[in-house]
Amino acid sequence: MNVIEARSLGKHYGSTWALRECSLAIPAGHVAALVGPNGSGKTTLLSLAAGLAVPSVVGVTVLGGRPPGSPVALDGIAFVAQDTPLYKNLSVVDMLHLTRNLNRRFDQASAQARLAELGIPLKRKAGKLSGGQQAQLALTLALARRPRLLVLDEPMAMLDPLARHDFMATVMAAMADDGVSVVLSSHVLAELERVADYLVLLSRGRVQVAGEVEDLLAGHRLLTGPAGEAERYSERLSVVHASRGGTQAHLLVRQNGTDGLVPPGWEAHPVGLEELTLAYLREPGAAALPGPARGRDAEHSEVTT
Amino acid sequence: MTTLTTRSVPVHLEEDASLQPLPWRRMAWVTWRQHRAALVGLAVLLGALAVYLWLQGRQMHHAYGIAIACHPASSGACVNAINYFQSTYNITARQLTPLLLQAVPALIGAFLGAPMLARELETGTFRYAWTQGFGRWRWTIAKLVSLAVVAAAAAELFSLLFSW
Repeated sequence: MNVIEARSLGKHYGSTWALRECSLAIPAGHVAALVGPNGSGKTTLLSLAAGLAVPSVVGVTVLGGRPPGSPVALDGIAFVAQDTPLYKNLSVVDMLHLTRNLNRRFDQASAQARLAELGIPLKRKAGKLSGGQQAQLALTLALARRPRLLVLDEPMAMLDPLARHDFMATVMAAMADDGVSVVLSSHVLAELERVADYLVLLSRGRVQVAGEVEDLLAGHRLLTGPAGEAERYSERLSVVHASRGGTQAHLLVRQNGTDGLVPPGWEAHPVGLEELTLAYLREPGAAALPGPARGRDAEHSEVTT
Repeated sequence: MTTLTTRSVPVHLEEDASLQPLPWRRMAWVTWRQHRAALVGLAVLLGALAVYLWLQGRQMHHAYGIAIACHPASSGACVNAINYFQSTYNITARQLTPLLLQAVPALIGAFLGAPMLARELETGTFRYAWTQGFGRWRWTIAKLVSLAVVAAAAAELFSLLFSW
């Protein structure tokens, strides 16, 4: 089952396309990271999946082919929006009660236990909590709904490193205990490296990279060698991004099938997720996509906005 | 690499159809909790106005009674009583009443109606409210209808207070 599936999805605001010809399929059972520069369409994609926005060019389904915003989709998807909106004048316990009233399932006991563990007082107004506590409260409310898919839009933007760690620990525990699928967008690449096992990289409203992190990492390497020879090998290898440091050149290359040869005098290193992501972010023209989406998106690598 | 799933996954229609909408009464608590300050304020305003009008009305009836009951009507004392009645209550009846009748619905609108949707959109909380299992249309309808009923009831009470 794909928790989010888009086929030629498009959304424009006025004459600006936030998403265009966007095709992707995020399978269930993953923590999928949605990354991309500002304005690449991350929030738009998540809003469309949550049913908060209506696509300009139809083509998105959730939870195995259901339309976003349909009763089953609303029931099964817990969405924590950017800046974790809560009713600031309501107390924590009121927010619990509110969310319980608005949903079919609500695990009050586990929510309260979780809040007690975090030291969040039930009587305090949501607006008086710290940024980290507000994010944790929003996450607790979302998880208490026992969703099949948890969608988090920039959940860590407002959090300090410790709060980020705690927040992601909660997400990972829910993933392990209840098998909830997670899709989150974030700028914090270092944090994603620890948790994400599926990556979707958006660039200018299109999918640039999509796939399981394990496969992506296995499919790329960093070659280091003399800067003078870099030009020569760049033609033969599919280089995603090249950088120079003094006499050394670093080429982040994608391995296509058998061309895994290392040129003499060069060293090959495995790449990390952050490294890989940064390389693609620096080269919006490069793409690593599974199956049919690659050709189609490559044709439209120039986006007019 | 995983391949993009191109086949359409069968929609589990039976499961979807068996999903009953959440009962409307769930929204009663939600609406009350979110708007109770405005609702209590409205009740207090109504109560204060009722007391004021009742006191005014009693005096007015009293003065009117004197003015009407006065015999003979052309005597100096009676003219005085009628003049007194008119000069005292003309302003109240002719000016204050329409002013209040115009101001009160506007106040209800400002304190009850406007925050309902505008504040949700302004603070971004619609992204919370409209992604809950209750459903955005039902959520909006439930709030609009219940608050409209309260506002209409309040307006009706006002007109009763003025017309007795």
